[in-house]
Amino acid sequence: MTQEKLSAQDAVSDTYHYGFETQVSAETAPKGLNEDIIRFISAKKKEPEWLLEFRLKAYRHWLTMKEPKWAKVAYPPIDYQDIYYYAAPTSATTPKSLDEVDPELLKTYDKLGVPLHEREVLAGVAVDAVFDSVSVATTFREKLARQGIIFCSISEAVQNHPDLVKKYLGSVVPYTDNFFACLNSAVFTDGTFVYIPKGVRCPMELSTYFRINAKKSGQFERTMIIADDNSYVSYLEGCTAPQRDENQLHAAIVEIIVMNDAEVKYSTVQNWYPGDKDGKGGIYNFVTKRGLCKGVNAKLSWTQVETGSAVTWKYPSCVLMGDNSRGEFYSVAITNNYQQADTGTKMIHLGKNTSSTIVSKGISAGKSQNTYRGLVKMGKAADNARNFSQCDSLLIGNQCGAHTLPYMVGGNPTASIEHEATTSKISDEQLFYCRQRGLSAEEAVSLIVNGFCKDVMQKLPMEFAVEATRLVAVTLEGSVG
Amino acid sequence: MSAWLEIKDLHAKVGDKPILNGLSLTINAGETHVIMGPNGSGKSTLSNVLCGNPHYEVTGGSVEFKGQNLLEMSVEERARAGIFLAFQSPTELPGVSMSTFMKYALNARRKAAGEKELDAVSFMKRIKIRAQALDITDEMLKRPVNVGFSGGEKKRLEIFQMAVLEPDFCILDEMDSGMDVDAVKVAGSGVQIMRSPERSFLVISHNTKFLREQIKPDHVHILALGQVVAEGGAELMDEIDRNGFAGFLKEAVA
Amino acid sequence: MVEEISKITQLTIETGKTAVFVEKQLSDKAEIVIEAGARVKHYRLHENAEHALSVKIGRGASYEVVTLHKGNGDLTLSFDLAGEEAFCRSDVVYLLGGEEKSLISSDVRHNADNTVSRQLVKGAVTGKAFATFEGGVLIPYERKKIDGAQQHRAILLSPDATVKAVPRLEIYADDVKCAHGSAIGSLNQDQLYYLMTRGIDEADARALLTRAFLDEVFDSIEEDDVREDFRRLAVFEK
Repeated sequence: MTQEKLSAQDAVSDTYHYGFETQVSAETAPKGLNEDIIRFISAKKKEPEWLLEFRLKAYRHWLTMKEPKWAKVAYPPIDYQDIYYYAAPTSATTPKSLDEVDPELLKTYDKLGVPLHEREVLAGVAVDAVFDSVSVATTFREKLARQGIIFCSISEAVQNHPDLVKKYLGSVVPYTDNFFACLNSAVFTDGTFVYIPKGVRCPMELSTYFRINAKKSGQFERTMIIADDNSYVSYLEGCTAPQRDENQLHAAIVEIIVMNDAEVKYSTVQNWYPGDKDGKGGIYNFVTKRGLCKGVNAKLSWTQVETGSAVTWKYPSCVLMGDNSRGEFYSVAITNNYQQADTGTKMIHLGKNTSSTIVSKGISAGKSQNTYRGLVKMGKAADNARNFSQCDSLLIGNQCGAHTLPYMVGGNPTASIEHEATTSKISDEQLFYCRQRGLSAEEAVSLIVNGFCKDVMQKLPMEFAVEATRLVAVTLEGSVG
Repeated sequence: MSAWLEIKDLHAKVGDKPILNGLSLTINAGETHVIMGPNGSGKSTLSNVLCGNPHYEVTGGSVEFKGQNLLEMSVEERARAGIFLAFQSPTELPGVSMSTFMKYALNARRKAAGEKELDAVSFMKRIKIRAQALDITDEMLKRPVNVGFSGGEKKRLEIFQMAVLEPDFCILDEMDSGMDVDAVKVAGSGVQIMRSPERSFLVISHNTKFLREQIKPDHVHILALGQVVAEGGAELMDEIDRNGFAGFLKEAVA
Repeated sequence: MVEEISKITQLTIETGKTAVFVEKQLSDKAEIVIEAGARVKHYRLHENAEHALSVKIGRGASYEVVTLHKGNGDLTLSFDLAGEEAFCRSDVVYLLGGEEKSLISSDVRHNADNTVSRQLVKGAVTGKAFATFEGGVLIPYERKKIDGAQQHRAILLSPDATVKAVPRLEIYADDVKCAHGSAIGSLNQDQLYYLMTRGIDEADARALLTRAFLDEVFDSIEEDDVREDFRRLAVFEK
C-alpha cells in the first residue's frame, strides 16, 4: 500500500499556513501554581470532573517530589512560581515583525531554506496568520474520519471522546512517574490525540503540522497515541527549523499504547532554540515519552534527531508487555556550543520472545556535554527475550564530553542483552582525504557526521531525512577550525 | 610549452625531521613524470606537500601551479584548482557512500567556480560511464568509501574518483601496490584514457614493469635524501633495473 | 619467578622493577604504587570477603592484574593511569551462587596522555545470586591519545539468578579511542545439546561450557601453575 506522504515541505507550501490562534485572550491566569490555578485551567477548558481530579491528585503528589538531579545536566534553579501555567500573555514579549527577531535565528532560517511566511510563525511574530486553507484541512480530516481515525487536539478529545482519554490517560506514564511528568499531569494545556481503530492502516503520515485547530500547546504538551489491534500509524513530531519560544521550560508527556499486531512509528526532529554561542537563553526540554506494547506482536519504534534545546532530558521508552512484542530506538543527538543532552531509552522486557534494538549516535562539539543513558531490563518472565544496543559517540574538539551510561539487568537465563559502544573522533586523515577532494573542512565534517548517523537517518521518513541531513550541517557550523 | 607545475628548491619537514632538502622539478602540460627512489627519499612527502597536508611543514622554496602560488592555498583550494592525489592508503569514511562523496566533491568545485550544482541525472550519467570503464559496480558505489574493500579495489576507486573529478594534475602515490595484475591493467588503462594535453601526471612507484607497460612516462626523476639526483627519460628505469638506487645515492651524498 | 604474597595493604614496586606475584589471601584494603617503567603481573584469588584495591601506575609502567572473586562481599577496584604511556590490564572473573550477593565495581582513570587500558570481566551466576558490575572508564579534559577498552560478559545459569551491569564511560577529550561492550545471556543451547548428544550428562555439559566461557580470561595467564590455581578455584561447589 502506498502511503500518501504529507511532509513538512507540504506544510509550508503556499496552500497551507499554520493554524495558530492569534487572538490574544484577556483571560489569563496569573503567574505561579496552586490548586486555584489548576481549577482555573480545568474550568477554562470545560473539563469533566474526573480530569480535574486527575490534575489535582498529580499536583498534590508533585508538591511532595524533588526535582531530579541524577542527569548529567546543569542549569540554574527553576522558579516554578514564576511561570504562567495558562495562556501566558505573549504580547509583551512577542516581536512585532522579523526586524525585531534575533538576526542569528534569521540567518539559520536562510541556511535551512525556510520560506518567508513560515519564518514569522517560527520566530513567534504576532502575525494574523490567515487560516485560508480550511478546505485542505477539512479534506484531510474527512479522509481520516472515514476510516474511523481520530486525530485532534487532546482538549477536543476530552470533549468528544472522553471514554478513550479517561481509559488511557496516565496508563503508561502515571502522574507519579517523575517530577516533570507529574508537573505535566497537573497543568498540561494541550497536545495531540490519535486513535487508530482496529485493522486500519493510517493512509498518511500524521504530523503535528496538520493537527487541526492546533492551539499553541506551550510548554506542557501532552500527546496520546492509541493503536488498536492490527493497526498502523506513523507519526512525525517537530520540525527542522529552530523554533523560538518565550517559555524556557518544556515538560511534555507522550503516551503510546500499542495493541495486538499493531505498529506505531514515532519520529521526532527536535530543534528548539539551543541558546546563543555563549550558552545564554535556550530551552530546557524535560520530556517523558513512553509506549506500552500491550498486545501480542505489538511494535513500537522511536526515531529521534535531537539538535536543539539548551538542556535535553529525554528517554523515549518501550514497555514490552505483549509476547513477541518489539521495541526500537534510533537516535541521533548532536550538541554544540554549551548544549547539554542527557538522552537514551528504556527497554523493559516483560513478555516472552520480546525483542528490542537500540542504535544511538551521539555527536559532541564545542563545549557541549552529550550523554547516552539507557536501561535494558529482562523480567523473570521474559523467556527468550533479546536486546541489542549499539551506542557510538563522536567527539569534535577537545572541550566537549561524551558519556555512555547503559544499565542492563538480566534476570532470565534464556534472555540475552548485548551492548556495544565506541567513542572516537574525526581523524585528521579523514579530514585531509575529504579536503583533497575539494570539500571545505565544514563540508567534510558534516559529510562524515552524516555518515556516522546514517543507520539512524535511514529510519526517518524520506522528507524528514533530507531535512535532518541539512540540519546536521547547520548545527555543527563553527565546530571546526 | 608552458610549465604546469614548477617546484623550486622545496624544503619540508615532519615534526623536527627535514625530509625534502631543496627539491626542484618542472612538469609541463600534458606530460607524465615518474618519481622513483629508495624508501625515505621523500616521495610520499612530496605528494603530501603538494596537496597541502597540514601534517607536513614547508620550510622553504616555492611551488607554482598554472601561475598560482600553490603553497598559499588551502588543501581544498588546491583540490578545486585541479590537483588530485590518488592515495597510497585511502582513508575509510564509514556511512558515506562513494556516490554521495563524489556528489559533495563535484558540487564543492562547482560552487567555488560559481557554477550551479549538478542535477541528479547528469551526475548519475557522469559517474556511471566512468564506473563501467573501470569495472566498478553499482553496489561498490553504494558502499561506504574505502570500507571493506580489498587493496586493489580501493586503488581502482581512487582512479575512478580521478576520472569523475577530471583534475588537471594527477599524483598517483604507489598506485600499483596491493593490486593484482588485472587490477593494475584496469587502472593503467584508466590513466591512459585520461591522458590529455591539458592534464599532467606525477607517478610515484617502485615498479618499473608497471611504469613501462601501464604509465609510459615522458620523464623519470630519481629522488634521494629529499632531492632530485637524476633526471632522464624512460631509459633511467633500465639503470635501476640493473643496479638499483645505489649509484644515485652516492651522488646525493656527494 | 612467581612470588607469593599474602594480605597486601601497601606496596610499592620501584622504578624499572619487574615482578610477578600471587596473592591468595586478600586484606580488606590494598594500595599499590607502580613506579615508572616497572612491569608487574598480579594474580589475586578472593573469596567471600569485602575487598578494595587501588593502584597508581606511573610513567611507562605496565600493570596487569587478574582477580577471581567468589561469593559474598563487594569488590572495589580503582586504577589510576598516572604517568604517560602507562598500561593497565585488569581482568576479573566472578562466580556467585546460592543466595550470594556482590557488587563488583571498577574505575579506570586515564589521568595521563598516551595511556592504554584493557579490561575483560566475566561472570557466572547461579542459584538465587545477584551480581552487579559497575565499570567506569574516565578520560578527563585535555587528555590525548587515550585508548581504553572494557568488556563485560555474564551468564545466568539459573532462572532466579540476576546480573545487573552498569558500564560508565565518561569522556571529556576528543583524542581518544574507547570501546566497551556488555552482554548478559546464557550458555549456548546448541553447544549444550551437542555435548549431550555425545553422552555427556547435562550437569557436566554445563560445567564444561561454563569453564570454557571463563577460560577466556585464564588463557591469558602465562604462568602455568597460577593458571591452574585459578581454574581449580573457579568452579561452583557441588
